[in-house]
Amino acid sequence: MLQKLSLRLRSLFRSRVADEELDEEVRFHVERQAEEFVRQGIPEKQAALMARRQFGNVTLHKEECRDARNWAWLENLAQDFRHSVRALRRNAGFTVVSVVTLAVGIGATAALFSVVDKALLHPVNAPDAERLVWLQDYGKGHNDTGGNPMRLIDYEAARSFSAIGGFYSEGGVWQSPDGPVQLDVLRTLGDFNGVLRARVQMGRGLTAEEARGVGQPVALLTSATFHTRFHGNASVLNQTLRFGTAAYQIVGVLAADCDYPEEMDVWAPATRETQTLQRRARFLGMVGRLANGAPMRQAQAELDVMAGRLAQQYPDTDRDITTSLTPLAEHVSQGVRKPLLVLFGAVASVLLIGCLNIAGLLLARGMARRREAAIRVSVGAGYGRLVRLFFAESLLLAGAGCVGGLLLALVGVDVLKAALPDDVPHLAALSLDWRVVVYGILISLVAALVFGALPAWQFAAGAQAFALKDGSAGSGVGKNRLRSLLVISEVALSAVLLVTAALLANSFLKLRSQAVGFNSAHAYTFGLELPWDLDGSVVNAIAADTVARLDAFPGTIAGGVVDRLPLHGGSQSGHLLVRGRTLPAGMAEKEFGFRMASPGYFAAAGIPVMKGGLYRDWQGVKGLHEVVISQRMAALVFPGEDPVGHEIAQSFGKGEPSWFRIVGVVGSVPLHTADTEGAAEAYLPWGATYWPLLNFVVRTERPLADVARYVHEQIQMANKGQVFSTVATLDERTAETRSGPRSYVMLAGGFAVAALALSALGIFGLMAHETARRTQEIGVRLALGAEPEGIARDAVWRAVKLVAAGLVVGLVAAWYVSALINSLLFGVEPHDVGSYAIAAAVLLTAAVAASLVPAIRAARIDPIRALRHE
Amino acid sequence: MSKPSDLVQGTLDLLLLKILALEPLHGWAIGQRLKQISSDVLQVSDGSLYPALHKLEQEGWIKADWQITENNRRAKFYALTTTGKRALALETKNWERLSNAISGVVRLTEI
Repeated sequence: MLQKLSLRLRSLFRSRVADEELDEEVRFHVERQAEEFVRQGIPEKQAALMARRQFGNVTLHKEECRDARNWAWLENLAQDFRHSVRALRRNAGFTVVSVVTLAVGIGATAALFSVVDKALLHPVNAPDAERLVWLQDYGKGHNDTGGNPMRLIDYEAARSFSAIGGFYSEGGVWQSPDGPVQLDVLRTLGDFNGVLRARVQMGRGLTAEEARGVGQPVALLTSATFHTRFHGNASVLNQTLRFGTAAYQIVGVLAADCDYPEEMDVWAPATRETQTLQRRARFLGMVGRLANGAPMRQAQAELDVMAGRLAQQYPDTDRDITTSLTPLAEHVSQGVRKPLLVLFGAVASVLLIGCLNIAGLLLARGMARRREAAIRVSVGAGYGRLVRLFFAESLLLAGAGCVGGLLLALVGVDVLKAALPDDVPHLAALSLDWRVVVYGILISLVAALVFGALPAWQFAAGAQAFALKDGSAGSGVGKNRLRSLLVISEVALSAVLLVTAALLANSFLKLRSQAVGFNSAHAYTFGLELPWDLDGSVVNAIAADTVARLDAFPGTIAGGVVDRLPLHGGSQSGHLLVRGRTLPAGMAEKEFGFRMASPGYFAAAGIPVMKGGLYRDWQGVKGLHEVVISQRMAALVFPGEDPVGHEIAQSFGKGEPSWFRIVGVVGSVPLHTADTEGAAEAYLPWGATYWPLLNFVVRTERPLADVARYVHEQIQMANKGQVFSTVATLDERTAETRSGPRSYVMLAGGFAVAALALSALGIFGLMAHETARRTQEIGVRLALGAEPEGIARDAVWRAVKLVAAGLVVGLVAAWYVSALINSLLFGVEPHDVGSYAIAAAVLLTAAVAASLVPAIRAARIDPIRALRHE
Repeated sequence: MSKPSDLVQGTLDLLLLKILALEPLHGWAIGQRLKQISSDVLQVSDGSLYPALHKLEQEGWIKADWQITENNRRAKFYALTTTGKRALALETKNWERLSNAISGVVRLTEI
């Protein structure tokens, strides 16, 4: 064993000595054989020659002996790398283009991978996070609904879960020494902390009683808030902090990696009352941790059985409720999964196009180096050694690309942070970590394989097939066919990207130009989040006071309050009842929106009254049962008749419903960005139900700064204990709901442009090489009287034919790929012909442009010089 | 290119080990000895001989040292090691099994 090792080490470190010994051994053999021939009576000179001939290719056999030494590959590798460095340095232009192409490709994929890794693969930071599940309740007609605290308690009995808990969030104002601060408070129910196995970095966790809201209110600070708001000062522990409607003892600080749900300041168990709220209230997010060994299927089956039992036990409230499980990671990344995967596919395609380009360049270079290969073979290089030599070169390129790419990724991550929408999980805390570095290295190795394999094979094959005589015109036609194939693949990939980008862009334009149903010009907005357990009369008093102050603002055209702004969703939804009628099937199960607004809101937000009028002002009017409905609801529920005068109510199961008389019809406003028809909803007077999230809208000709100053001086100062959000234009607040689609369009468009540029580069490279290769042929043609224009046209035509072939493949592929992104499209069919036409036109234009320079060069070839060269 | 086409694959190792089991020899002599004892039936090209020897040395089955030949020249002599002896025994058994099997098949009488 030891002997073996020493031998190997010797061959590695003393390779020169070993080589000399090998030389001597071979020399001895040849001389000894010569002696033998002499002994057989052959003249000495001839004998020496015969002996050497008999031995064969000395260098090759020596090389094989060296290869037999196990470490030889390492020596060879070092040699190959040295050789490659020299070769690459000689071709600085090629090297720079390749490394930059690779660095951009690797950098972009690595940066996006860091997003995918955090947002899709590890969106929840918790021990054994793969056992975490999201519980989603569904009501009648399979409409999703929030969870109920009592039902959550029922579910705690399920044996497939080791812990189960609920949460909701609310705003709470803390009177800090520097003035009021709005805190985002996570109210937890049941064993929420146990589900996430939330750890504390300081202080203690919750006791079982505290978690159920029993005893003195306690709270945990999140790590970020502890450091920013409390400057990491440990004295905050055990202090009593007053926010929202109660005072909480701070018992601990959560660990830094406890970041689900994101962007919370404080975790505080919900009050006992909230945790035992009647079964009708549905507002919770629910999470569970699967017990060890319990698959999700089993947990789901158990919940189904329990749901069946609860439906019988509480028919009024729980009859139609079902609960389904999804892995928590999937739930958290739900909205961003598709777009991120599409972007990742796009950026991977750009990298692939880059690799194909480099392969094309290497192929072109390989053709020029066939002579070199032939020489190497004739002096004893083995087939494997040649392939290795070529891979050393691609590995070097990939290595440089990897280093450059990771450096670029550092910048790329910041770009993505700014460009991606906020709902991507963990976006704010994004950074490059070891996983991304490993990914970068892996992707570089794959890239080296992709663009190294073809030329290596060609290099070695060429070395075997061609003798030294090669190197004249007309050679390498087959190899250019290979390059054409590469260009066709590039064009096909680019076509897919361009179609995708065009579809997304079209969809975004549709989104932006959709008939919004409201008028955001000259409308300003700000909000106030009050705690959920604040008394309704207090909430309504603040709302009334603020609206009155807005009306008093000189220059106000209209002012009002609403539960949620247009495009920001609704507040309540449910089934509709019409007094004296049975709704037809389809309408009875449909969810309609029931929301609240003060009468001034409609004029402030520019929502037109289409029929009838508005309800009277809600202030102080007891038992005011008037309602306006949206045009969409009118069209659905009262087709062809006047809805004014009918009475409607929200269905709550048993008991006499609370009826509202329709007094008017207003324009439909979209509930969210993908809502094309506008919401079918009813507006109740403010105060008809409880809702502590206030959104004020004011319409005025005055500029934003004036409104902001007025809100600060007259409204904020009058409510010192509250924190009003900054005044913004309604435009801005509604545009932010489209930030997701916009950033995806921008990024997909960016990648498509990169793909286009790289493909154009590939086409240019191929055409330039063709022109160079055909110099003599063109020279002959010109000498025989061919028109230079014809030569140029011919060159462009070749490029167009290539692109056309790529386009056919690419457009067919895009036809299938676009079906996958259907859910990201708004108002655009995935097979929208216009988008395909745009992509095709752009690619053809790029192809013509890229082939123009080589074509002109071909036309300007001087026949005399071209022929003399021969 | 490098594979001995004149010998069944793998048998070259066995032959080399067997020859060296008799006495330590240098490369040229090994080639001569092989021809001699197989009455010129088995021949190994010089190009295949040395890589095979170096491979066996790397395996630790044979060891090499420089000695003076009968006519006063420095040459690299190869000798069997203890592990080499074991390897030879194993390879021989394998070979016998293989050749028996092949002979059996070859001797089948055709109907």
